[in-house]
Amino acid sequence: MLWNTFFDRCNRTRTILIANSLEAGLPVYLISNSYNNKMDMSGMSMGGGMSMGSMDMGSGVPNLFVLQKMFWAVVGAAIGCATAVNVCNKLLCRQRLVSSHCTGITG
Amino acid sequence: MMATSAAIIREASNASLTIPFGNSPAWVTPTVGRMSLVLAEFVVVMVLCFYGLHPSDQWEWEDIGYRTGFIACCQLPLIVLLAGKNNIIGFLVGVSYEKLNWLHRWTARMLLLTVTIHMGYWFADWYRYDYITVKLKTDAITQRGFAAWVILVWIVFSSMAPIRRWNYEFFVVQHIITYVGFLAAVYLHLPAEVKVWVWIPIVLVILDRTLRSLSVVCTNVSIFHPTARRRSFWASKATFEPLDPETTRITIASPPLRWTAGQHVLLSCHTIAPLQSHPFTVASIPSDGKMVFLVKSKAGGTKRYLRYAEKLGLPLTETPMDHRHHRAVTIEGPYGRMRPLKQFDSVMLIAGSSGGTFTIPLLRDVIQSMKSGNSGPNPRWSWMTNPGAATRYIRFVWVVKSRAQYSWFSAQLVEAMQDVAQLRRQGHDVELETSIYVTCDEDFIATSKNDPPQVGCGSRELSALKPVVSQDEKPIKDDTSPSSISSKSSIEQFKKPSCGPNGTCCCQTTIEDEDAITNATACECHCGSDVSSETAEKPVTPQDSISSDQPLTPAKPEYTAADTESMTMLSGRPQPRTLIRKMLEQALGESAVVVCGPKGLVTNARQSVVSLSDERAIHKGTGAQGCYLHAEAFDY
Repeated sequence: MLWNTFFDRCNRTRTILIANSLEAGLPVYLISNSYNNKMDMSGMSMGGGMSMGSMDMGSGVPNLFVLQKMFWAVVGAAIGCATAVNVCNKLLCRQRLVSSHCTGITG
Repeated sequence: MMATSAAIIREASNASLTIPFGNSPAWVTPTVGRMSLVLAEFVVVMVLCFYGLHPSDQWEWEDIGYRTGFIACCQLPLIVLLAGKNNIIGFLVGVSYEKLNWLHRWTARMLLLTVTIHMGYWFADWYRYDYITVKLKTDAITQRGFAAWVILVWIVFSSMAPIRRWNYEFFVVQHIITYVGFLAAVYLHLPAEVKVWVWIPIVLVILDRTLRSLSVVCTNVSIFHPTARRRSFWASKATFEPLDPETTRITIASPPLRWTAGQHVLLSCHTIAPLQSHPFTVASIPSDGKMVFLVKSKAGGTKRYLRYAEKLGLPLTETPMDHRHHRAVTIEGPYGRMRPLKQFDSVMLIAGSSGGTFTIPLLRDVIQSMKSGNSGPNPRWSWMTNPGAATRYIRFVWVVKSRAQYSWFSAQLVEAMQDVAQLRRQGHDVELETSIYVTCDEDFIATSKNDPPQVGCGSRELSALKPVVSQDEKPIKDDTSPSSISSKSSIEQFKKPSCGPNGTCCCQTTIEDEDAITNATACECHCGSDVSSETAEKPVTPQDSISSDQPLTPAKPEYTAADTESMTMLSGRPQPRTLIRKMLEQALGESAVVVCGPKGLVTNARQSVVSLSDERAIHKGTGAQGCYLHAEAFDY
């Protein structure tokens, strides 16, 4: 844990130093440590209980790409439920019409 | 259990609050269903943006910046999926694109919130070192991101109702242009790993546009219709006839596409109104063999159609027109989707003013299904086709501005009643009740705020004796007989113009119970120094109605008064709650309420359905059957 805290503080310091590099015209996202840590960490072991591919803060938090998939999992589930309701409605319509025709109640 | 859940979800989804604002019109909140969906999206986005992070910790602000950026860019495809006319989500869930447009707007607002948080945390992080302006001036990524944010702010701002409705054509053009700019800025702002989230919406837009273009070509070019006799390259030819001083009837004699009742198409005639395409409901049914549109003249393209029709001066006739009078039109569609009404035991159709163009085809389609099902079992029917109709009772209510408006569809209504009478004579248990309400109440017949004010009398003071009213009811004095009025009353002094078109009497009394009306005066109105009274007439034969107006279509021969005795024409406005309750009380299965009209009428009907569903405890052990609601409001 001590190592993680040290590493975190280094990241912050690097961020400040990176700001100075802007004068050199370098794009920030290529040199930003926070972003690169997210990209590079998946294959690295940091020890101290930090999970692979996770954010550099906290453990057990999925990485950014997994969170994007989670968003679409929720949206997909909602669309899936609405689709199931739609299919049920169509089957119900069919059943009602066939039933009324067979029993000759109307039409 | 499923029925109970469905009933509870329907009640909750359609419920809304009415918040009075003194003398101003009351504000009706969005439905609980819509608000819940938006709230759910908000919660999901916020959880994904902040889970496992600590916003108060300044050393995590960069992490939040990255996180919110990733969550923001993954929302882009959803916005486009909800916007397209060939809507994948709409196809899956059984909802048409225009019903999803509100969700498209709110998803975009959620995106704006997310990117604002994204930008905010980055700015907060740099602000500590006084670095915001340095970044904005020197860093290309920051510049592109900020540009994207500014464009998105404009997109969301310009899509708000007052601006959107001010000039819709301008709104659409600038919306597409700014969206392209927004996507370009976002693409340049994002790192390579997440650029796929920009490619997906681009592909979806291209797919939608390609499908639409192919559909337009296949629909309108003659070579794709080999079975039909086509004289020219362009398959869609229409005639334009003036129906009344405000309405044009557009008829396509040989429609190049198939549609179902209640659907609409995008129609354009570039020789009359260049570069404009408008959605119009098809006012005829496929068995008519032609597509008819009744287009209300407002500003822009619809006004041009009317002017052209008046200039041409073609007589209104059912016979096919000379081809010289045909104009090439482009139709795209059909669009629009709802549950088939013929499956419901009881159907109530409520229309306000030009909403009749939506409900009349639905009515005729249900009756047509009843007749086709009557022809006996067909062994060729497969699971794909739906034979006959399960409908037993139809209640048709149309609120019109004047009797002239009723004459748009008088012949079709008479025919519908004749068909039902014929079915009854054959021993089928079907019933059709029709009521036409003539009123000038804006809540029930207004089509837009730009409608010209009523001409005729000026405003004057009236003392009103009234009944149960809806929140915006301004009743007219009735000294003689309260037979049509309930026992509850309140006296109000108010000023309101209350004359109908051309200074005719205009009644805004709410008619609580049609059956209670006799020959007593339902309302009284004043026109200058003249006092006239309007009697709630019942019943009136369609012969009287048609003969009192200029005959616009050939009268149907050979019908008896008995066939049409279930039609009622009344002066005043309906009480949707009473009408719906009566229908629900006699229903043996699930009922459907379809309402199409101005927002006031639609809101009234929606609130009535919700409160009746709760009052009757539908599917909660009382035996009351379900009620499905489909609402179409005049909106864009």
